[in-house]
Amino acid sequence: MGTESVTRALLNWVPWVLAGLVALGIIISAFKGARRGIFRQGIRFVSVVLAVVLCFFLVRWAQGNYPDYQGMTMGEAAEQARLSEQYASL
Amino acid sequence: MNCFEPDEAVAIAAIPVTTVAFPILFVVLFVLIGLLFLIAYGIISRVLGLAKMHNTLLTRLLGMALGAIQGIAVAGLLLMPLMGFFGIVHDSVESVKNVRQEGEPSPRAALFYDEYVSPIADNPVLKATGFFGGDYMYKALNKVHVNGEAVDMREQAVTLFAVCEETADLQGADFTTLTEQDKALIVRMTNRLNESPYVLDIFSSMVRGTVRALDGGYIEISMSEPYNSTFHNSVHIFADSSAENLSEDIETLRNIYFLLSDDGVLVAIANGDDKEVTDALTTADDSGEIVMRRIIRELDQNEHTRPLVSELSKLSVSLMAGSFGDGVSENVVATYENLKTGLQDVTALRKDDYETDEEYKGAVSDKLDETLKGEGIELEADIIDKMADYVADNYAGAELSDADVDDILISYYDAYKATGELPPIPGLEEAVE
Repeated sequence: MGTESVTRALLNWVPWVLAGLVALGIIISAFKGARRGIFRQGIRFVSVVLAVVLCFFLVRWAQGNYPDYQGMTMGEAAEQARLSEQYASL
Repeated sequence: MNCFEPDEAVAIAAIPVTTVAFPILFVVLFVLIGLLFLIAYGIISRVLGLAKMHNTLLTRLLGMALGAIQGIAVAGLLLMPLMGFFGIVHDSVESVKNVRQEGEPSPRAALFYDEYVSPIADNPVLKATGFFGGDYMYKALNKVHVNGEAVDMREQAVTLFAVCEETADLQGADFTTLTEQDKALIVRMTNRLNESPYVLDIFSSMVRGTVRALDGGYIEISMSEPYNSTFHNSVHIFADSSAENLSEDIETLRNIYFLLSDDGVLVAIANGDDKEVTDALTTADDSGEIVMRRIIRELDQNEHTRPLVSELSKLSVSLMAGSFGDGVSENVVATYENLKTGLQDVTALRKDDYETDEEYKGAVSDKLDETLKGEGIELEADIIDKMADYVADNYAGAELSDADVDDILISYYDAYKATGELPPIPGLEEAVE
């Protein structure tokens, strides 16, 4: 069996492994939900939603403020570019 | 790195950062914050006494349903970066496939994708992740504001990937003689750049930065002559490249490249034979226009590339001087500058001082020959006569601008064509009579 066929065989297994892991995760989560009951699970669910929302806005904030190699943020760099353009047009 | 502009670095980094790094950051943050919320949940449920609460079958069933939904949501979020990245690869491969004409071989990238990437990228789990909100979340995380406009980095990444994938199909191509298929590929790649103003902006920034880096000696690009000197002398016009002019520049250079390839100029240059180069540069199309004139027309049509005409003139001087293989050396540049003044003496000859047109043209021919010989350029008498005719017809008594000097020097090719392709055959006319 050559390296190529081993690679292909492994690649063919990846979706199944992934599907298995996801299915297992969902079953465990459903089982825990049944053990907790709707009220406790409800609070747990709200905490997950809050975590998602918080992370989303944190990342959106970081997108506008990540530093480049000169230590400037994206906003600062855009402002500098605007000023250089203005200067060049004078 | 000092040669690159700050906005350029941000622009170049924005695509991988937004399409790969930020979704991963999102997942990492989600896991960490999720753990903190799990602790908070434990405290809250103890404080509210929820831990001791008795469940009925109904509350358990509802809890199970909500738990399953939560499981799907968490799995979707964790797989989101993978789904997004493979989605970009998938879309770029599809885009490369879609533009293929019938009968063209499948793109190499598509073959590789089908063989190795497809089992992961197209598997139902990742597809389902997209369906259950992962796609929406990934798209939302990929929108950034650039110069006040919302740009979808995912689309830019698809364009960039597609350009790279099409480059793979040029592997093994003979770049001195492009096939129709190679040309179609190059056209598609360059057209793709025009599809995305953001990608075009990145490329123009890279071009500007590269010119600055070359000028500052931070990087060195070296190739064989005559390409080397022509490249280094010409590259400066791209110091002010922008998204607005780069698109047209790419088209001009692409058309010239195709002309040089189609008419065998690149092969002739590779062979290092001056005569062969001149023959190739004077190959006429159906309308009788020679390659050199077609190149000049291409350069002239684009204001930004017009200065390159003088670079071609310098190259022509090196060809006339028999040193084409050495490129545009310092000597050639000096000769070119001297010719600028020398040719003024040729056009300064007054037509009124001669009784007939033939006499005037004869004088122009002698003066032109003397000027060229003074610079070490010896051309055949027929070629000198034809060039002199061109000067007499178009520039009699004129004060020459730099563009006029270039035009006169490039008339060498027309003269060569007129005299070189149809040499007089002794005795032929008598035989016909």
